[in-house]
Amino acid sequence: MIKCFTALCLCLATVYCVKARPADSSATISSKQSYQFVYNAKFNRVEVKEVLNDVYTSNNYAVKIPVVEGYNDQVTIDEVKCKVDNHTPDGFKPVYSYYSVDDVFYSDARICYFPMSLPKIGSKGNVTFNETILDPRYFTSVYFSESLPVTSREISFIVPRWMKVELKEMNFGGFNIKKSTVYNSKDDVDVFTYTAQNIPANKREENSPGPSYLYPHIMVLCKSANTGGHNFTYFATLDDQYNWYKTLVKEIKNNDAIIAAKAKDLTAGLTSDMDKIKAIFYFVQDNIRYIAFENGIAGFKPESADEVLRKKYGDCKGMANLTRSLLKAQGYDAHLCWLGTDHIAYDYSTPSMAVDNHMICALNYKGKTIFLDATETYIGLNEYAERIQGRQVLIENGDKYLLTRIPMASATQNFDYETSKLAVVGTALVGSVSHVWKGEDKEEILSGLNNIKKERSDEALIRYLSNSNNDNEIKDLNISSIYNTDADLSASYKVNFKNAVSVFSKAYYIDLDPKKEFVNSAIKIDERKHDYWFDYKTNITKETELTIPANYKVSAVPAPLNISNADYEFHINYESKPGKLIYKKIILVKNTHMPVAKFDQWNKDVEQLAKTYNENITLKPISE
Amino acid sequence: MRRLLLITACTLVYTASFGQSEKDKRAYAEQATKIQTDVWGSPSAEFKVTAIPANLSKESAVVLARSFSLSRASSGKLKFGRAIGITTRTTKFSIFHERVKINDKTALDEFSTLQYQKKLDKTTSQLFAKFVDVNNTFIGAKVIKPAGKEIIVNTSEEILTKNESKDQKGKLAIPDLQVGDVLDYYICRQDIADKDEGNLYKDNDNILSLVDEYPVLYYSIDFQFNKKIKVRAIYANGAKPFEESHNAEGDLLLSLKLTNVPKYKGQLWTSGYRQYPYIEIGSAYDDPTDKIIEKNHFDGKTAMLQARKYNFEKTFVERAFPYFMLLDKVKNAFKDKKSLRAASADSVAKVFYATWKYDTFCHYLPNDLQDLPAMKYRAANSQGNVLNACFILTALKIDHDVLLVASRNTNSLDNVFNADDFDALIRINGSVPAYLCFDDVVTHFNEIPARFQGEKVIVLHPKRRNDHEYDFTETEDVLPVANASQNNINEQLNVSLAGADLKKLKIERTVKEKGSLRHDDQKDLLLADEIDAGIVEMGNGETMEKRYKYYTGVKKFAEQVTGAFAKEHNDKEKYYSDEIKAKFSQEPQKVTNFKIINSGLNAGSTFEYTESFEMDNLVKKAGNNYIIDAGKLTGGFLKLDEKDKVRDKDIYMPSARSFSYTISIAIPAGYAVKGIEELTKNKANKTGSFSAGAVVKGNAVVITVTRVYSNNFEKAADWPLLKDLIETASDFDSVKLLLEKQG
Repeated sequence: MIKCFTALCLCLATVYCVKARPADSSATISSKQSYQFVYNAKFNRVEVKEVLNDVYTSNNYAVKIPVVEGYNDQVTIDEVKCKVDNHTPDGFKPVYSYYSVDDVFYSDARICYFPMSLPKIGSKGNVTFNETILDPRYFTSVYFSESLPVTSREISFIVPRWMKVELKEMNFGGFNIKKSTVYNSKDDVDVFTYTAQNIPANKREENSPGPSYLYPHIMVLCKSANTGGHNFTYFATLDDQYNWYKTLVKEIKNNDAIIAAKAKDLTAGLTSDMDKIKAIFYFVQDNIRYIAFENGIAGFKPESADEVLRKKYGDCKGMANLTRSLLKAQGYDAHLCWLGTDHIAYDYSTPSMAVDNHMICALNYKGKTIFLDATETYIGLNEYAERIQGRQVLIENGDKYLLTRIPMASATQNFDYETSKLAVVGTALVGSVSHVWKGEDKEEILSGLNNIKKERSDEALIRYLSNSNNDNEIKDLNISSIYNTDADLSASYKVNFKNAVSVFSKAYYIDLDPKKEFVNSAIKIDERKHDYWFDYKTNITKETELTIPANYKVSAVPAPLNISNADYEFHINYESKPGKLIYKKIILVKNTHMPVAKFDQWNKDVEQLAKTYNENITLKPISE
Repeated sequence: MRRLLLITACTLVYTASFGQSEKDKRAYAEQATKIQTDVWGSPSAEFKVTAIPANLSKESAVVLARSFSLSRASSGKLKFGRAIGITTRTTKFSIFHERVKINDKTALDEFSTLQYQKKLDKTTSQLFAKFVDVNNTFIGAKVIKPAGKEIIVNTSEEILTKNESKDQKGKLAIPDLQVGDVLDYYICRQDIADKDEGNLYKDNDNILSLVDEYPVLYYSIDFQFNKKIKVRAIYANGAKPFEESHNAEGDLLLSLKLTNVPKYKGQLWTSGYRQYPYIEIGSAYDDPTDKIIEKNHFDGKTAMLQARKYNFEKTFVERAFPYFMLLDKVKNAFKDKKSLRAASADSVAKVFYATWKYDTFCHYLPNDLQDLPAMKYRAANSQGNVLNACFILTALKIDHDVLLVASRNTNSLDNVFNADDFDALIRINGSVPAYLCFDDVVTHFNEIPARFQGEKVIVLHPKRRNDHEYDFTETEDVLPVANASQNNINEQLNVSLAGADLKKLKIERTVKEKGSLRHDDQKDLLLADEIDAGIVEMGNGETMEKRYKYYTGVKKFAEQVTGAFAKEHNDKEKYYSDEIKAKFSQEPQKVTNFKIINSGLNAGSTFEYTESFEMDNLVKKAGNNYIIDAGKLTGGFLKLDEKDKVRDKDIYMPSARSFSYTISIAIPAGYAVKGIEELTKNKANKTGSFSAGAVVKGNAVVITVTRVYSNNFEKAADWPLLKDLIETASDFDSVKLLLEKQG
């Protein structure tokens, strides 16, 4: 889940040109868009004038298109025009309104919207927005695709020779997109025109990569301008981007006395560095609610640490700043850093505000850098959420920055480990279970439990452990603290798996694994278009020891399953010991990104896994 | 103290609405300060509490104290404006004040943000008069830490999500609120309006539930109304009444203090408005309902019901309804007048009902085309349609009654307050009574919706005096209840092992549904054009082209409707797939041969459909043998959650109903079936029954299962009997059969 700079991605930093559309084929779009860099002498700044013209052609009768265009403090809508079948619709009146963005308490995101009715098949709705981007830094990308099919889209960039901008083509492969370049000597501008034909509608699928991976678009890298007798530096290099960020950070006015007092209070009585660092990190995690204000410059500049502390809420920037400030107050070498989560396809090789959407804290400690992301509420120190693993991170370091990467964790960072001892009692399996969770498995459970009303958390956990199956009775549940992020989460309980044993003519047929993870995880190849990204790496180990009833023997066990490749492993085997049968299962998902090309093999392997799950063990009397 | 505040507050707001913007801001700020002083200045003892009882320590949050107070004053004001004469000036002032102990993060999330309409000014001017219509909202919040420190929240930290001079919406994130703290906040709203509308009971109706999501230790409710306002209240399900008094000015004061308000338990098969205490209180200035009550001397607890009934009777004005067109269609459905006269009452009524249905559900508007399948889920307005029906049946000289009823899912008939708190239906007094209910598109002639069955009705026997007045003779009755066999789902499944290693089940399923159990699947599985065709046939309706031959609104509209219908056919497979997934809790594969056998639209008919599909995870292998989860082939029976196992509330069943399954599982060659004796189960008591058994017939094992809920209502004392049956049925889910390899 992207928390901090969501507003940037959706509204402030990018001119994404993805408007809210019905996700069906009720209409198609043909479009002409132009972006012209101009110099505004009155305000002494370079602006981008946009003319966005879309023609909707309906494929059905009575099609209603909700036309929506976003804007904010950096993007103005200057004019809106609409004609349907060459007439302005009766009562045409665009509405301008605050727009609520997911996970953002308040932002300067606004929308201009109006419904447009296309009465018959072939009706044409012609919509034009004239807009101005007030700062080229915020002009980061232009997309070709929409939620409706695009029959044609022409995108023109009118770039005066005094403007330095790079147009980077992204995800063009497989699409019919042509480029032409013309120099207009009269105006001394270069006109770059891209023409795309027959771009399919965007298809939203769960667990798919972010749009910057999937859809054809142009990254607009505004570097500098020299006009009106002035030099304007945007993001020609990463140094430029860093300098701009650094300016914002320098403007933060922390009340050092308050922070120092709090840091002292948090670390009182602690002697080891690690204990102090943990105390500070876990304090911010546990006590600062995530509430994001992304209003104008607040979308980029962290709030002062003492304000975050006072309010007990903040966004990723505020929480990172508070973490850094508390650590620094205790003498640790802590820094702010910017990064893009895995939702974003870019990195800092293309300096742009589109490349990052998150802020965390970096701590240099004994020659190692530890990254502290307090927005991940239940993750421990030295553990990293999947969404930031391996991501390039820009660390503030005075006049210079450091560029490095968040470590990639292996699947062993996460762990779902269960051991059980069971015996047959009638048609039930009865016994005891111990469970340990680490990493993102632990985070998922703690997050779930802490998002349920306290009086129902026991019930919720029992429901989770029993797989929501009322036949799986859980009793005497003991669980380690659900508020202690630093330690593994563990639980022990007694179980009565009713009806896990089928008895026919004195033979016992036993299903030892009620959970059967991934049994229904085949991917619908004929429906799914995009790669599949797992939420996080999986590391499941289950060991069950079954006591063989007296005078019984193991008559049949399923064949072992061993599937192993670079991306995942499935292992199930049974081992006989005197009077016991041991069931062991290991499931690893080592690579969370599964490309479409691997779906077929994945489905075959899941089928094998399901087959093994759905084979019972057979116990028969020794006499047979 | 509060009374003084009310008058002062109103004055201040009144002044502010005429002032300049800066003046407005100052006036607002002054008012906010005054309100804060009043709310927090001298709190009652309950609003000083910070500790919670030990037995509530596991609660997500505990409301330590809550108070709601509302005052309203209305009077006529002479206005030289749009309609020179008198308008109504209403001043309303309410304060909601709550003090909550936050015990977990869920409660912290819930209570840490306030959202409100800060200001809404719809004041208008005309000629020499200003018509004030202003709403201002004031908020205040403070955090009390465990050690006792109080931190008053600076409300200027609010964010205005809308900030126009006349329309402001605000949000406030409460700073420094943590688990373990107490949050004390209030929302105060002031309304002043010069307008004639909005003064009726329906516009000033408060429903106060006396149970809550959280435990409430203290709850205080106060109302104050000036002399010119009439107030009426209903105390439902044992709700404690207000204490009444008057102040020196003659204002009516109503007060209620409660302690330890219980927490609402969301249990299975309950009806909130029937089983939990609530108060419905309304106030009105110059509402005709009061004149009706006074003139007719309606009194007691059902005064509002009597008034609404009286009003309803007065709406029987023929000239106000274009019922003639429908009457002509009914007449034309008979060969001639003689045939019509000779026809029995219920056969004429049946023709009328079919014609009405066609008229109501088979005429579409351009806006409907956007989502034509949604038409299947419409429901008719009962009161309006009963009027038309009564006129037509009277014209046709069909003896009938108008019945007034309240749904089991809402207030009881005695607790009717507003005009739409009850429904209406028609009873035809033929040789056997027949019922006309104007409800959803699949309701049959002579079918009473399950939510009305068993309910008390007011019977109004109409007598036409003239075209604008009907007289009614009133009695009472109770609607009949369909028995379990009339609400039935019958499933036939032919099951065989499938797939390369026989680990899947191939299932051919035929389902027949009757009565109330039919409706949901009918609407989900029938396509809109199938419903249209069925109703057209029954109601002697016209083809689409004829229906819209003279329609001038949109060109080629008939074609558009047909096109919209055709589009839904693309979703047909998904409808069946979704139905199977809902039934079996997993995605089916290879859904084929899905079709409707009988649409079930005709009166008394059964809805029938069939489908074939494959399903995983219902077969386990054990060596050379197969174990089939036979019990799951019914789709599974209800499993009770722990919280539902103990109850003290009566049980409002959806209906008396029954389910029967015949499941035939093919035995592969070379295999024998074992375990069929475990499928034999029988249990019965007065609340219903469950029975199951299995026999081998040729090369198949045939399992039969029947589950019956005998009644649509059970007393709480009988819950253990009902629970016993539920658990017997849910235990059946786990039965298995072994297919053992022979030789």
